[in-house]
Amino acid sequence: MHNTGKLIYLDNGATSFPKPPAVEAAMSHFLLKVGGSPGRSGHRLSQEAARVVFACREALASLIGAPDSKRVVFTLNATQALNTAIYGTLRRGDRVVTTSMEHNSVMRPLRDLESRRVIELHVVPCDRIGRLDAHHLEEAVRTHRPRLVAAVHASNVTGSVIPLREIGGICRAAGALLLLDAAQSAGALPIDVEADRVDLLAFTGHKSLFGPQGTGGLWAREGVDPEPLVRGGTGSNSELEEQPEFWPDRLESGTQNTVGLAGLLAGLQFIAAEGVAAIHTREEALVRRLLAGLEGIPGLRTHGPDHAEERTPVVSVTFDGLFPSEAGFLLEEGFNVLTRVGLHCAPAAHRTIGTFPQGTVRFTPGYFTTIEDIDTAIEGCRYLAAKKTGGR
Amino acid sequence: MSVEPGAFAIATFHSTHMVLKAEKMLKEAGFAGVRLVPVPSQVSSDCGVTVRFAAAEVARAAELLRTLEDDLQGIFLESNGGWEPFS
Repeated sequence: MHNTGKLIYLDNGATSFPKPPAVEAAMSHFLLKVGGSPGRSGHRLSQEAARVVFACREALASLIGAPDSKRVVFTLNATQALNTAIYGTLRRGDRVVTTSMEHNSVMRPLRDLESRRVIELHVVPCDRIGRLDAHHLEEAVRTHRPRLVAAVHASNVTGSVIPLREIGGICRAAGALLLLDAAQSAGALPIDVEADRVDLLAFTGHKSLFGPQGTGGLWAREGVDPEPLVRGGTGSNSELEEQPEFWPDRLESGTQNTVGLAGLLAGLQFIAAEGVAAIHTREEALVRRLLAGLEGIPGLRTHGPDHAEERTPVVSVTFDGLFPSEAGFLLEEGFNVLTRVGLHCAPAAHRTIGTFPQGTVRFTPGYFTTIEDIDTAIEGCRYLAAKKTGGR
Repeated sequence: MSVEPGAFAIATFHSTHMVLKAEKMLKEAGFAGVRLVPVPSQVSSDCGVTVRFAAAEVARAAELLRTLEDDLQGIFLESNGGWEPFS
């Protein structure tokens, strides 16, 4: 056993922890020194708050290559952004194509619309390691002629990444809108909405963008204007009792999570300073070490692509004769290794890779994970596997 | 239209985001005395801010800000204690 008391946080796929110190400092500064309501008053503290939101919008647009930052709107999380994109865009009679690796934040809204006969839904199956074959998608798009294709950029279960540029080309050629769920990928993989031909992109602030929980958002291409889920005060057009049509106000009613956005801005500045490519290289090295260490452990199976370069830092494993919930508990008890077990809100993905209904034990290293942390996780897995196969 | 000495001009936008965008553009283009001020009630009933600059530079500012197309609501010049639309 190896329980030194240091917590080894391998659950960055759920939320990144720790955050860069500048994130805490920016939020603290906002609460102590700024504190105004953005876009609601003319005084200097309101202006400063508005500047935080503005800078955050610009930083986010720059990260994803969006030409016009006003088309980035902030939401509570990726789920709210995805719901806005789905419910705000789809109309009765629309056809939708999605993949079998989707998170419930996409699947549940789509299944809801399907069950109420608003849309027709077609799910393209991915392979046993969670990969989407572009040809299968192309075929589905040709057959079903969807108005919208919704796809997860990187799976939260296997870390498998879709061939985005190819998919974007297929959708654009067919006249289908591409909604990209970038919850796991924004900040971890390079994204260029122009070159990748994305039409709607949902992101979360609290995973690879290093912001706090309660931040996220949606970007939409010029000419793609989802209806709001929520209407209310925007600080603009106050003489009118109707919701403004213009961006970003059309989709941002009520006071924003400005303190959260102050933190998200610091996270985005951290990413800009480090570089997405450098972050990806570092995380890829951690995954490579983890995969190499887990390989060949009897009674343990890893799921997802074989090579670290084919995934975001997500490694799902199962143990013969040991439920994921037990394994996760023992990893924490014996090794202080914190993982996430079960279905990860993605039952379709687990059905695809054959791990439904028990799910997997998911290790998600992050930028601040060390080699030692990875080695302890490997040691823990080896211990659990040996215990189950009667090794001790 | 004559410009009163020391007078200001303002540009108004639908959203706070665009006001800040315009402020950034004006500052980057080297305009002096650019700052955010509350929207004058004579101009708009919005509760937010607008961007102010020297009226003497209004022609050059208008050229720049009109690249924002529909996002620009209007440009106004300070005149006789009120605000006159600049066209």
